[in-house]
Amino acid sequence: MSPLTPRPENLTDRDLERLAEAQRVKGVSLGLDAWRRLRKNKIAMLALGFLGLLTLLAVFTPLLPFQPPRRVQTKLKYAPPDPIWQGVFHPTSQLLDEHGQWDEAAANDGFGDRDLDPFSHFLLRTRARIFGPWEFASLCGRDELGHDLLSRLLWGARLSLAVAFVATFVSLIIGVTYGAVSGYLGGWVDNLMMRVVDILYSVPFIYVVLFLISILSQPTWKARLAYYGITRITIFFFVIGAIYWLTMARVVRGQIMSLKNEQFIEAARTIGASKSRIIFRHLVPNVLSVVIVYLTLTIPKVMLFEAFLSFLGLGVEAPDVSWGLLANAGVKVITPIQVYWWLVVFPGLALGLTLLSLNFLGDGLRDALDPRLKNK
Amino acid sequence: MPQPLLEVENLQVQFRTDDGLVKAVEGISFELAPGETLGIVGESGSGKSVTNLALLGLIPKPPGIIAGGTARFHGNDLLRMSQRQLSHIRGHEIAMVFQDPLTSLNPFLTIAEQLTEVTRLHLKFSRSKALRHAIEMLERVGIPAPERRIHDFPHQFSGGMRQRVMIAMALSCKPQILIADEPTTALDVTIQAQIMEMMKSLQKQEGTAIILITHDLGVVANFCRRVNVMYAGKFVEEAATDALFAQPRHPYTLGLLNSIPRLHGAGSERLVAIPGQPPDLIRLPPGCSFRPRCPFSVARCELEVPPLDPAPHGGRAACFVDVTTAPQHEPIGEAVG
Amino acid sequence: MKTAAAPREKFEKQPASGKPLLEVRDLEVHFPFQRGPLWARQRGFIRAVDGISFSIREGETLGLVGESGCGKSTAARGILNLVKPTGGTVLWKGEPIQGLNEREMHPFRRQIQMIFQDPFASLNPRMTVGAIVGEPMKIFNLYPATQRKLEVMRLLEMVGLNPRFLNRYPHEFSGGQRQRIGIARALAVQPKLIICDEPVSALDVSIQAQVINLLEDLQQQLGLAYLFIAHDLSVVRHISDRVGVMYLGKIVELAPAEELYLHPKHPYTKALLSAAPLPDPVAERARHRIVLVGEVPSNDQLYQGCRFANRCPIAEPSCSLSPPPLEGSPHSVACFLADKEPSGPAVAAR
Repeated sequence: MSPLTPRPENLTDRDLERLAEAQRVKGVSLGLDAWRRLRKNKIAMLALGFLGLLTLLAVFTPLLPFQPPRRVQTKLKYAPPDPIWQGVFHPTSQLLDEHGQWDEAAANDGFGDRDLDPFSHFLLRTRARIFGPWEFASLCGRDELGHDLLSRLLWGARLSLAVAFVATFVSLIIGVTYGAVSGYLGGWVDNLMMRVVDILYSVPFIYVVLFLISILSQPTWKARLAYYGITRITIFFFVIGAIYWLTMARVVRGQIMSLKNEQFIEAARTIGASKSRIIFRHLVPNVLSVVIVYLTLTIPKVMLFEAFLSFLGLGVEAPDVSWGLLANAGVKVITPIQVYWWLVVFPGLALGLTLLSLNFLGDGLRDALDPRLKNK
Repeated sequence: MPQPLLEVENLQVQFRTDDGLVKAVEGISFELAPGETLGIVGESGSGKSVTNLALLGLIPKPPGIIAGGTARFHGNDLLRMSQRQLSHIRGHEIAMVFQDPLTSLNPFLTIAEQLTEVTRLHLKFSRSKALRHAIEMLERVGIPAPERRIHDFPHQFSGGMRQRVMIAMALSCKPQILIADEPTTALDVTIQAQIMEMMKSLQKQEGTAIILITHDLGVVANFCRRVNVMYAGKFVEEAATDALFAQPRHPYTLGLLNSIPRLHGAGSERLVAIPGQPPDLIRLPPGCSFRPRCPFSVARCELEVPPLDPAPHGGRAACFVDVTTAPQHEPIGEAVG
Repeated sequence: MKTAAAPREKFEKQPASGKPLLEVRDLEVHFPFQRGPLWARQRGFIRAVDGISFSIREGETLGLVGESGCGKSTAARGILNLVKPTGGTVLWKGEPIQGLNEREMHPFRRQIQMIFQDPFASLNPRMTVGAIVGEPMKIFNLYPATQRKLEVMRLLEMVGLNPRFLNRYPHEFSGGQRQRIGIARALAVQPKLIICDEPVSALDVSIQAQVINLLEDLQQQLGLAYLFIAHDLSVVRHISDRVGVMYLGKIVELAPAEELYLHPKHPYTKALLSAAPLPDPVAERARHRIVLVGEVPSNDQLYQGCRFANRCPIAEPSCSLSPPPLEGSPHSVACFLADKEPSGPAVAAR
């Protein structure tokens, strides 16, 4: 048999032994190396910890005994934060009726249960089973309708973070693919693709968003989209993602252009690697470090954009909650007569801390991934 | 022997890194007489460049640390001078030429601006005098039509021409010492020959002492009177060039000489390579650093660091065995890879 | 031989006669350029490779020397269609392969492999050694997955690396070791010809010898042919059977290695040989050095006559009238005056 024809997998014990031995030697990838360096950066790790905790909290918010974010209590309008020393838990939940049974109506009024995804729905039921009537006190105060701010902050985080992550992810996928293909192919293809980007850049996106969202907010459109299961939020994700991929594409293209003349790309060509293999197996993994750094700087931009749109009343709509909406509500109640400071401070703090953490993390990542600091 | 111009004693340079302390230079000593040419030969990572950066106070601190030693120049210790004092010496009394002429010139300034800067700074030349001097220097390093070319930017010069400009700049203030760090490594052989010839004739005229740092034994043989061979941060052999090439006393030098293919004489026999890799400067082997790759090593080599002692060829060598008579064996070091 | 643990197969070295493996005829690689402001745009061609011819037989090593910019690396890329040749033919076992597109070229990629200069840049830093060496086998679908791993281990062993380091990354190896990884990758598809583009010039002296020895051993074991491109004359002499000297996109002299080094005929070859520093101070002092004036001119213009004429120490006015043909066998030289001067390395001109 020629040595080049594929052989069946008849392995001897010795072969297996050799393979096992090789399996035990672990290499240190550049990523692992960068992680080791990042771990030494205290501020970046603190930021990462904060973001991790926040994400975890946001995901599991329905499981925790927060007050229903949509429960209106006009009697408690603008109630200041409950003092902590008066107790953190109160048995005030209305999720269960007097028989201790799940109260469908209350859940829907308080949490928008009917629109919740199955996972959150499950979490909410589990919560009712675990905590019964107990729920957190109103530690961050209440707004003009008596909504509990703490709970709204957490439920808002769910939406704001989701918008940020999904929109950034969309921009990542489009941007990296577009930039990599354009950068690697070069020539007229690159020219064409980049001119398209230039044209899109010159479009004032805020107007496009205004236009799109106002059209889609019309009842007829809304109904039509709802029929296909597309909510306004979904559109929102994609619209924002579609804006932010432009810069990503440019960044990636630049990186690819400088990488594609490296010898390892030439080497890949001499072993007959296809174009897509070269782009996605050889080039893209090598620009990921730059992409990750850029991502950590894109997420805050997206969050701010979301807040801005919600602020204008074009983004997330009540009864949904997002940090942008909360900040907007806070600003509205700043009057010369009475300052409901908690409505400004807590949403601002949440947004500010998150953005700051992302920036610190981005800086830390850049330092950790920078190959110039690497002692070869 | 005349009074040495530069006396380096027990120089130690270390770098703090994430992985540990890199002992880049581990106690080297040498003297440089006026007008002399001293070669320092070593492979990448042997510490040859670090040595000379340390002399000029160009080691970034941190992560670099000058862990010990003195470098006497006109009675002053270069290693203990402030950056301010050093800046009077650098480029004036001690000048340097680096390997890469492209990155050592500022791409945004004309050659004239860069060449006149040193003389105006150190010799307090007027603008016009500095310019005249610069043109003269360019002429001496063999740049045709210097009065026209001097207003060009670095990218308008070829690699060889840029290196000539660097040499002109280095020699502008008539330094007593010129440190040339791989000055011809980036150049082609015919250009290298031009530059080396030019440096030789300039040295004859000016009487500048030169420290030539290189990995190329051919360049050393051509250019230097005395050679230091460096390995893993230490000098392992030091001798007059002729003696060193005729009868190397350190196994590393011997190995280096054996491992280069020759241009003349029998050509096709197998090269005698030095097995293994240079040691990790963070985890140096105990005793002699070359032991794992050495075919002559004896038990003692693992226990003690061999001192740089006088050797029969009139120089010094840091080895316990006599390489001319000692039996050879397979090196004990770990296999390649 | 069904398992990788079996002793490695020896390849029968073919008799040196017969059809050449690779034949290059009048290969031209020109790059168009535009420069200058829009209103005075100059157009032209960089004639990186301007009509070179040579052939390589099975198991043979052909050296190509020349200074930077002489076109030796571009010639290699032209042969492999990494840059499209603008003229001439490249025959692989008699079959033309010049200008083939990627798909048509695919089967030939298994026959001709390449080793690169920079051991730091030629390996993808994000891939493990196993993935790098195994990639060519994957692309050509040579072995099932586990078998492929074993094959990679066998190759690593063959090039003198510890086969257990399959999962390590390139940055965990030294320069010489990385070059061995590059060699293992080239061997992975069992090529007949390996183009070595300055394979040792980025390595330290003591490591250079290791890699050269390895290349020679592999040639013996596997019957490989090499096109060995380098600027270091002594390395090329050591490894090559025949050597071609390139200047400004042309081969000016092509001869068996010993013959070329002992009796160079072209004035450029002589100058190159005399310029190379010898690691021997006594010989250095004894010899006369031909120091060429000026530098290698740019190759963006058309030359009527000999390209070397303006730097040549023995040129005559007639040299600039028509290009000298590469003549003579087995020692061919492209110089009108080659026979007028006594040949030998000692000829000096200042």
